[in-house]
Amino acid sequence: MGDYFLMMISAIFANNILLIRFLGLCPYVGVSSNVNGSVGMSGAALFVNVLASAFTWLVYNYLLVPFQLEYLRTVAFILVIASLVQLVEIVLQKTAPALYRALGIYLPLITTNCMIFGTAVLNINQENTFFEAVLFAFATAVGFSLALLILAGLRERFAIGKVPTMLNGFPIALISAGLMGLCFQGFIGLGQ
Amino acid sequence: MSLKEFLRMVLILTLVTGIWGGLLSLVKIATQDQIEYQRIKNIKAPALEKAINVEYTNDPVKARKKIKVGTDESGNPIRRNVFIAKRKGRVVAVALEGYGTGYGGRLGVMVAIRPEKRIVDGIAVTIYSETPGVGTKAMKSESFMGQFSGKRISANFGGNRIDAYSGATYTSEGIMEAVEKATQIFSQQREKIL
Amino acid sequence: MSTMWQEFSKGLWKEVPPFRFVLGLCPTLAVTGKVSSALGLGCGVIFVLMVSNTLISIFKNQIPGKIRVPVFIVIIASAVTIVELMMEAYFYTLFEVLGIWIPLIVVNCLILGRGEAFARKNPVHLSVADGLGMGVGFTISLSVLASFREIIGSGTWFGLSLLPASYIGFELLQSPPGAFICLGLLLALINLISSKMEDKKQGC
Repeated sequence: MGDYFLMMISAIFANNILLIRFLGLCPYVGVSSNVNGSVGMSGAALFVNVLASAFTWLVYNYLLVPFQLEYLRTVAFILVIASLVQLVEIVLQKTAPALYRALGIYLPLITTNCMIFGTAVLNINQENTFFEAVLFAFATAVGFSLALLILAGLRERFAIGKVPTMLNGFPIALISAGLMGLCFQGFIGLGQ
Repeated sequence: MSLKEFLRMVLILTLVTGIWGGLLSLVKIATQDQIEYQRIKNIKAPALEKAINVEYTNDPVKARKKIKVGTDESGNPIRRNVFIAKRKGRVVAVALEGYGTGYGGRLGVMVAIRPEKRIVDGIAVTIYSETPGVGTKAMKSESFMGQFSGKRISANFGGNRIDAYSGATYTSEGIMEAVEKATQIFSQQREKIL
Repeated sequence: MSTMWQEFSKGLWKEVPPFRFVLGLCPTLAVTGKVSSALGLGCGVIFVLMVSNTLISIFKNQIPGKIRVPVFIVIIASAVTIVELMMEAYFYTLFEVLGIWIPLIVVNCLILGRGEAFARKNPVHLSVADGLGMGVGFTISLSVLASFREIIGSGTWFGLSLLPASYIGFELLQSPPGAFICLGLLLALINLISSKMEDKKQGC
């Protein structure tokens, strides 16, 4: 039990997917300019990340490994993720229109979110079991949401504050992300 | 969407994935020997360099041979790599791994043998899970590891021929066991290897 | 010929990724700790970008619009797999260093973005020029950022020590947060230069 807890802490803080592992930066810069958008993106990412990790794990261990096709991992994973996103979109639209309205526009963006693909590959590289893979995906997405929401809050403040012209926009967002990353790195001692 | 349009899409998608799948398997076949070579080289080259003391001019990883050393529970053959060092086309040393049990678990030792003199050329540890500072001291000790060099491969390595490293008896015995296993494989399959 | 040059050169300054065109940020930050790995990943990206742009442009009329994204993804993913296999076979140390970032070229938005925005609508020769320009621009950007981080962060360049041995290195720049800060400052610098250039143009 303790191991799982440590794994989650490490994935959320010390090895935060955005700030330390650099995965999922495109939506980070794209939607983090307002808090509402970030909440929607976080929800969508959490949902798809857990599903995608579970599916890719099954595909890798029960389809690619038995046929010795490990080298097709990249192709297989990206196809699984892309079709999964489409499927989630259709199912949500039919069964849960309210949820679909909240997450809908963020779902297509998720296909090119490298966090999803990265988590799937990391699960294989770390030789996680199925349960660990799902848990890792969940914790990773929580870490992603946390970093995204904090930055969105900061950027809303920048919008009304005075920022030097040359730093306006992306530069200041990146620098504040760097400073946040320094704080998150402080948790490294916890993971060991 | 008409049925015809739908079928066309399915056909194109199948065609694209099929063609690329075929191409990828060709690339895979073309590179797999080189990839295997690189993997082995990266993992084993440092141990090989340490174990083989005689001068050689070829790349022992490239000149490796696979020999059958037994079968597993389901009857599939277990194969092991034997690395062959040559000078001017003549085999001067062969190196292979043997495994033993140390204090912390499995120990792997790369053993280089000089076939014409039937002696051990040198050894190097490849895999271990020994206690840092205790078992690992034996592996680093020149005087302990150096004892194996020049010993004849015909007799056993336990007992009185090698002095255990004091304070790390289990590790020492694990290494002796591994060396003995490797030399046994060599003696049994000498013809096939050379 | 002149239009080909135009398409090529726009990738080098006017629309240079990832600075002007903020696409493909993730690898930009991750592999720029050392110049050699930045250059290695850049070469992989150039190859994949060329293959995907060329093929998408050749078959643009055969690929139905509705399934174009899956087809593009298959093309890109396969090109990435080729890079993966080749690198493992012939550049093993680089392969070990880059690790997860080689398969991640697949989700680099730059590649799908160029296919979708350019190669799908333009003839083959222009698409090749565009792919090469964008790829080279991306590689140069990565190398610049990596040079900065490697020289100041650890006093070496391409693994050769440049600064005197007494230089202890500004370790922050080698760590992940340092990557963000460096990129932020570099983007600010580019903003500054281009706004100065705009001023000059208006002065004429």
